[in-house]
Parts: sequence; C-alpha cells; structure tokens
Amino acid sequence: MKKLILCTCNKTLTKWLDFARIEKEVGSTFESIHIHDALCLEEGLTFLDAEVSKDDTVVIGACTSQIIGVPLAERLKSELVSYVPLREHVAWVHKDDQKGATNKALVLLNDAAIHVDFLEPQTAVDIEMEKKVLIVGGGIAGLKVASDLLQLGIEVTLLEPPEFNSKDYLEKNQFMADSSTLKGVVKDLKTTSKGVKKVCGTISKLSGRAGLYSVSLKRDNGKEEEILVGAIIIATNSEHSPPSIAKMCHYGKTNQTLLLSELSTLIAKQTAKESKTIFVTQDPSYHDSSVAGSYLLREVTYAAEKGNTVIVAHSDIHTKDENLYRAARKSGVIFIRGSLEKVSKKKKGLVCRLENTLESQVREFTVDYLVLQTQLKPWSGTRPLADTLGLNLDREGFIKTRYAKMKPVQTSKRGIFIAGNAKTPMNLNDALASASNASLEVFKNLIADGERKGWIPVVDEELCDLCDACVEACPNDALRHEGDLIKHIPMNCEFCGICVSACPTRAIEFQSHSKDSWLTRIESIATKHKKLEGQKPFSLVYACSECANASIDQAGFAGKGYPTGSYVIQFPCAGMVSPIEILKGLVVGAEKIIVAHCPPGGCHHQTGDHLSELVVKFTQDMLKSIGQDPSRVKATYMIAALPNKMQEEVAHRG
Amino acid sequence: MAKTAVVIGAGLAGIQVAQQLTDLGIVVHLIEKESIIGGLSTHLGRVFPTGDCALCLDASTEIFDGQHRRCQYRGLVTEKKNLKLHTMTEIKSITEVDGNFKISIKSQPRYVDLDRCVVCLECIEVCDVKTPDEYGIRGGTRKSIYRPVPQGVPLAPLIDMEHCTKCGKCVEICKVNAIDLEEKESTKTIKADALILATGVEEKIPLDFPGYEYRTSDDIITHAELARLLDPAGSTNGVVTTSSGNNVSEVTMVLCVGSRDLDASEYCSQACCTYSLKHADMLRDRGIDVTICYMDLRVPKSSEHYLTQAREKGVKFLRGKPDRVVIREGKPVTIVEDTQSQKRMQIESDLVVLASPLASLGIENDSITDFFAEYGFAHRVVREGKIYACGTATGPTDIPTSIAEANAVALKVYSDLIGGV
Repeated sequence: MKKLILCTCNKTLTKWLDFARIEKEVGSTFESIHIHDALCLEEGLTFLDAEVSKDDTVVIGACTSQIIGVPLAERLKSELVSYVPLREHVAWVHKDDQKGATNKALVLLNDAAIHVDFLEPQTAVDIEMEKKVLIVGGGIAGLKVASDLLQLGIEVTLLEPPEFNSKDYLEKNQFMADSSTLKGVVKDLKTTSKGVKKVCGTISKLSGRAGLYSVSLKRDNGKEEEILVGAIIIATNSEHSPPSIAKMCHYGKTNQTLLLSELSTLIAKQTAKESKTIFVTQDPSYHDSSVAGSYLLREVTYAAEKGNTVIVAHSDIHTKDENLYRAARKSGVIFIRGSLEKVSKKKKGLVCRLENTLESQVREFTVDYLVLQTQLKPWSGTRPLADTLGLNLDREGFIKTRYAKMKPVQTSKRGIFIAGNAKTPMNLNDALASASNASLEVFKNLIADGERKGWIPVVDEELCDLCDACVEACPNDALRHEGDLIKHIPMNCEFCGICVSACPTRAIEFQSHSKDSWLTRIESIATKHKKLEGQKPFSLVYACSECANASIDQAGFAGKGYPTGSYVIQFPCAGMVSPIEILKGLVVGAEKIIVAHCPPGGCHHQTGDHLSELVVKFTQDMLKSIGQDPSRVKATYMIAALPNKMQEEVAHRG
Repeated sequence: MAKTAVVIGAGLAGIQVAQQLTDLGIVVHLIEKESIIGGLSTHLGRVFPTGDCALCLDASTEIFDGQHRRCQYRGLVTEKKNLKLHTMTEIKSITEVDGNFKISIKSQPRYVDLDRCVVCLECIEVCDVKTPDEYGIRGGTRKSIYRPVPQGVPLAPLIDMEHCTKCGKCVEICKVNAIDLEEKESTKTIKADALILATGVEEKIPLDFPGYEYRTSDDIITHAELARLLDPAGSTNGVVTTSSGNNVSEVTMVLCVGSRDLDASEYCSQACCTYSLKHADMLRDRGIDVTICYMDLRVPKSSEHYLTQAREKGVKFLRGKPDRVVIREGKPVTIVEDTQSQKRMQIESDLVVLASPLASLGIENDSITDFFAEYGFAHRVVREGKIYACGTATGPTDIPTSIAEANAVALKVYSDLIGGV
C-alpha cells in the first residue's frame, strides 16, 4: 500500500500549512493518509511500528529526513520511503504565504508519491576483508603503524623501497625532533615493531578492491611476488633538497657552502678550540613550515652552543615552540631580517652580502661556512608510487588527502591511507599521531562486520559502447573496463551516481534514481505547479544530498525565508546531474535551474562540485548557441554555515 | 562488561574521539559545559584550510556509508547508542578507586527535555522576554528560551532562568510536555576506565591588555567577534558594521596581541595568522580595505593559499607591532612603526580587530587542572593507559591536526582497554 504519513510537529505546522486541504487534495494519490503530531517521539515511532508494514511504500511529510530519518531508519519496516521536509523546506521558510506554502507542499508530496514508485531496495555489498596490511616506508610513521597494528593482532608487511636504508632513519628524520628524543622513539619503535615482516622492493602493480587488494611486489633480489592485503598505508619520508638559491651560494662548488641537514655532522667533528663563523640563510622563495623553522632553530642553537658565531638571515621563522627561538637567542645566535643578495668566494672566506630590511641597509659578512636551509620535498619515488596505486598528488608532490580538513589520512582511493611525512613534513609528535590515525582507520575497516548497503549503478550492455567515460569519471575506481564489459566494483562504490551523468550513451541506470525517474519527477512538479499556481514562475533546485541539502535545511532553522514556487529535488551528488535534467527543467517551464553542490574541493565524493560546475557551464554554452538566456541555469555551492544561500539564489526573479 | 571512557569537551576533537570509541564498542560519556556541541567551531562559520563550513564532522563509519562526513545537525552524536552526551555539564571531582575513575559530574538544568522536544520552536515564538544575545554583537537580542545559534546541536532550546519570568506561556504551548520550569541541577557519578581531555581553547578577551583600548570601544574587537559579524546567520546578517551601526569600509588587524610576549602569553597561538588572513579575504570580498600589522606571518603550508589570496586581493601588510590603539573622534587609530620603512604610521580605520591568544580552557576547572602542564596545555599522554589529551587541549593547532590527534588517542584508548582482534 502507498501510505502518506504527515507530522504537524507539535501542531505548529498547521499555522503555515492547510492540512485539511492537503488531506483532501492528495487523497486520491495515496491509499491511506495519517496525520500525527510528533512522529519523532516514542509515541510516533510506536504508531509507525503498527502502521507501516514491510510491503508498504511510504511518504513521510515531516521535518527534514536528516533529522527524522535517523530514528525512522531503525523503526520503519519498509525500505521504500520518500521524505518531504515540510518543516524546513516549506513551512518555516514561507511563513507569510499559507496558500503558496500549502501549494508547494502539495507539489512536493505529489513528487514524493511518484518518487516512491521508482524506489528499489538497496543492494547489499560483499564486505569480505583480507585482514593483512601493507605499509610502504619504514621510517618513524611506518614503524609506528606497524607497531600499532601488531599490537592489535593484525598481520603487517613492511615494504622498504631499495633506496631506503634503515640505518639512517635518524639522519633522514632529524628535522622532526631533537636528536635525543628521536633516538628514544626510534629505539622504542624498533622494539615494539619486532616481528613485522620486512620486504625490500617496490610495488609494480595494484589490482583488486578496497579491503581486498592484490599487490604485485618486485623484490630487490629480482623476485616477483603477489600479496593480498586489506589496506595499504603509505608512510614514505620527506627529503632535504637544495634551495633555489643553492647555485648563487656556490653549493656543490665549494665545501664551505653546505645544506642545513649537513651542519650537525660538521659541528660534531669540530674540536673544542675551532670557533667558526657560520652564516645560515633561509630560502626566500620557500614557504617555511613550522617543522622546517623548528629544525633550523635547533640546528643553529647547537652550532652556537659549540662556540661558533652563528648569524641567521631570515624573513619569517615559523615554529610551534616559541622556546626554541628563545633558546637560540640565549645561545648567542644573531638573527638578522633580510635576504642574501650575493655570495663571493674570497681567500678570507665567503663574503655574504645581505640586504637588512630592518635597518634598510646592505651589510657584508665574511664567513667560514654558508649554510642553506633545505626545502623539505616528498620522497623522490612518490610520483611513480602514486601512479601505480592511482593516487592524486598535491601541488608540492606530496600525496593528496581525500579532504584536507576532516580526513587527514585518507587518500583519493578507498582502502589506501597515508601516514606522517607522506602527507607533508611533520614534527615527531604530529607524525606519530598521523600514524596512529592511519592505524585506527585501517583497523576499523578490517574488523568491520556490519552490512554495507546502497543503490548501485547498473550498466546496460546493449547500450554501452565501452567508451570508458564512466571509468574515468568515477572518483572511486568503482567501474572498470574488463574484457568486453564495464564491471562494477561495489566495495569501492560510494553510491554517488557521477557515472550516470558521465555516460554519453545513457547506458547506466542508477537504482531508485533512474534517468526516467528524474524526467518524470521534473515533469510532474511542473504540471502540478501550473495546476495550482497557474502562470506563477517557478524554479528548480537540484541539490546534492550533503552540503547543499544541509544549507537548505538550515535556511529553515535560521529563518532565512524565500518565495514559494521553489522546488528542491535531491540528487545523491550534484555530479549526477547531467545537461538532460537541466534542459528538461527548462522545457517544462522552470524559470531558473540551480544546481547546488558542496563547496569547492569539499564534495563528499571528491569531484561532484567540480563536475556539476562543468555540466552547468556546458549547458549554458549550449543555451547561448541556440539564442536562449544562459543565466537561467546556475551552479553554486551551498553549506550549512551559509543558511542564506537559498534566499540569495531564489529570492530575486529576473 | 563494556569498558567506559569519559571525554571532557565536545568540540571537534572530543566529538571525534567519542565517535571513534563508540564505533569500537566502548561506552562513552561526552561531557560538554556549553548547551551545544562543536566548541570553537560554532563561533567560526567558515574554517581553514578548506575555507568551507565549520559544521562538518567525520562520519567515522565510512566503510559502510559512502558519505564520509556529516553535518553536525544530522544528529549522530546525539543518536549513537553507546554515546551519552551530557551538555551544560561540568566535572565536579575525579577520584581513583582500584585503578578506575569515579567521575562526578553536575549538569545544569536546560528546562527542556531533549528526549521530548520536537524542535517546533513554538516556545521561542511565544516567549515575551528579550535579552541581549551573547553570541551576537551590535545589539542582537534573543528570547529567554532560545537556541544559541541556528545550527546548534542538540537542536532543542534552553531556558536562561536568570531572565525567565516563569510566565508559563512556553509550558502551555508545548503539547509534548518537554518543558519543566522546575527542573533542578543534577549530579551523577560515572565509573570510567579511561579519561580523555578534549577541553580546547578559547580566544582570550583582551580586556586588560595594555594600550589597545579593547575595554573602552566596541569598534576594537576580537576575531571571534568579527566572525559573528561576518556570519550571515548572525545578528547583523553578515553585514560588518561599526558600533554606531555604520557600514565598515576600513579594517586594521593586529596580530600577536598578547602572544609571543613574555609579559602576557609566551607561546605562539598558531592559528591566528591564518584566521586573520581568512577574515581579511572575507572582508575584501565585501569590498572592505584591510591592513594587517604583524611580527611574523606563520601560516602553515596547508593554508598557504590564504596568504596568496590575501596578497592578490590587495590586503595591505605592515610589519610592525602597534604601540597603541587609541580612539580619536570616535574612530580607532592604530599607532605603529613600519619596521620596513621605519616610518611611524597612524592608521585610522572603522574597526580594529585584535588577534588575541588562544588560551587553554582545561585549566579553568579545578578538578582537572593538575593534568595540564606548561602554559596550561596537556601532553597527549597525560598518564599512560589512563589519561590522554587531544585537540587544542594539547596546544593550539588546526582542525586536521586536531582530528588526527583525536583519532590517535582513540586508538590508544582502545588498545589499552580492549586490545586486539
């Protein structure tokens, strides 16, 4: 039976919506209609227990599905449910227009009645996991992950690329902390990670899926082997690299110029009496990070404490630990704000000419050594590794995280994580946290024993011409071209529907959200609107189910009202919207179509924000070329922190 | 028997660690002294490094749903079975018996039952009492039954009894009987196996910082206050105004007001450079001129684009720490020596925004203050196997680092309490 259940939210929605009229006018669409006053409370849920059976299709007209959907997901026996957020999307935002609001409610309930007809039960996904983990890189973070996971009883293989020599962990990681702390940590980690299986070699190929990856390893002894793992953690190092001013400073031409990473070795060799003048310079073109700044301060303090005269030319020294600055000053380090202009080799030493910005004058220093602050770059093998694994890199060549703010160890690929300096140069404390964070994510995935469900894409073999557009568009490697088929990998799928809009032959159907369902719904909204509102213009908002939907919900909470005649259709991701749905909206008479997506770089499925902008741009160009007004179509982002976005977008009509 | 952990502070780090532990089968009591969760994030609107919404949480069950993240109001924190959220609650005492903690907590009455309220907000509508809104500036008001911010979670309102006249209108209108004007404060003792400090930081109010006149003028404000002015859901609808209600056309920002200063806060607050740049960007987008007076610009690599953007958008940078900010003819004037040109400048502007240090909140509570060390910040491992700290309780930092640390602590607590597979 098709049932409509409405909630008045403590009898308040009746102020803005005419429930009697709603009941009368949608009567023929549903087989039963119930009105409750507090569906979300125990009495409402008990009512639903009794009222809804497994075979019913249900439309719930209440508050936003984001709120009521949480308790209802557990209590509703039927999976085939469509929600109409009467409170946030209608009543609360159209408080001064009861007739218009009721009309809008009727349009949306009618739409939901059609929507439930298209709903299918979700598909259960096989979540079999291989309970083994591969770590790439045995530096601090790699050892920490190994140690964490071993302690939790997970089998770990540690892959060391051939150029990683385990003896010089300390030297390579010097920038992360002071040497005694570092030594202690490395010693502990070596003890606690004993028992880890170490392999020296590189990854030559990756296949399989999240939770069940097959990794081909090329051992340094020439042997090839294949291992099955549930997850991969990249824990490669950062490397010191000469700065852009290296050439000007005669680096490589004279042993008087050296890199900061070479300074401590030089100082350690010094005898007590030899006091030298050491000039340390930052690279003005390099954006100093806290870890690089702290490292510089520790090294110059050490050099000064050994009796050398140390001068540091700097612009901004970034450090988390202000006391390092104070210690450096106390040890006698001289800080001068300015940049190195010229270095000349003279008999008496290197002459460094510096423009001092504080005193606005040029000064020259004759010194024994010129020390260059290094740039901390990603490990040189990062790019080939990322290419093999299918990972994205950031601007500087470090492995890019999935989402910079909340997902610090997740990569663009499900089941592959990063730890420590593979992300960005980190101090010891942050690297250890990052490593444990990666261990946690992996552990949680591997012990998962729940059920994974979702609506998945289904490829029509007849229509598919194997162009691979979907394979390239899928942000999660969930579609692959294998033989004469496009194969779906459900464990990688995030149920976003981006593949549907990418397919030029329209060969992909998404469960519950078929192409036909969008067209039918768009048409019915228009028809119903015209029936109730006549010539009054209307706009359609194709909103993603994440940030955009949240922003529209929050418009209600924040009292940011907007005119009626504005209908939100929720897409799983804005990236699923194709020009066809946009054009359909225009054809049925919408004055404006707004595609609302997550903020730039903030799409929950990685690329939907960008793709929907492209699709809208493309549609606008098309409209322009046939003499139509392209401004009727717009893509924009919406977020909960900007509850005024909906108001801005639909308030003013052209 | 299930293991129990108590997390103090429901900011981003506290929520993160609580959700992770709950997912791993540990019972969590999440203690929050405010009426809503989110901590600093509820004040900020937009946050770095992504420049998007502050109301984002990590939906930690990512293997099952493809969504990965959730908006705070989507309710997982208040809905998870093993996660008990105690808002308006403070720790009264912590004692140790046989290696376990007995933590006694005291909750202030909300007067609105979270399990009964359907968030129809009719009670707010009928309330007659208007009082100044502590979240808003520039004369915003709220009712005495109110929701602090539109996006606040739990969604249910609360009553400010100090201003409530007990007229009973809200009780009468609430047909689901969620309001109890006679609710009393309650105390409770929780037995716990582990304790996690996620108490966070707060922007210090520079009331007594000499020379900057914060106390005398409402046109000299902090960044937290500027964030409220910039918030489209705030009392000014996102319009940046002066105390006399005029639109602002020039803003001067002063960095390190009381930070990196041996006479005030010795440490560097890490985040102020970036959020000053973030706010400068947002002001420039509204056509407002911005000058930033700084000592060093310490912007982490992940937020470097804010600096680039600020330069491109024409934010003026001036290296020098102002001696004084004075009020002349009703307008704040910043007196500063530009250390690059060595010129003394007097910059008149409509608003001066001070970057005041981020100070630890954990040390304010006597029963936990001993767990904190230098400058009022805690070490990540306060006591091996028992007490941990994460987020800005261990020192000011950005969101990604806080989240990573919260996850790391969750793993540590799980290893301690339960162990492997």
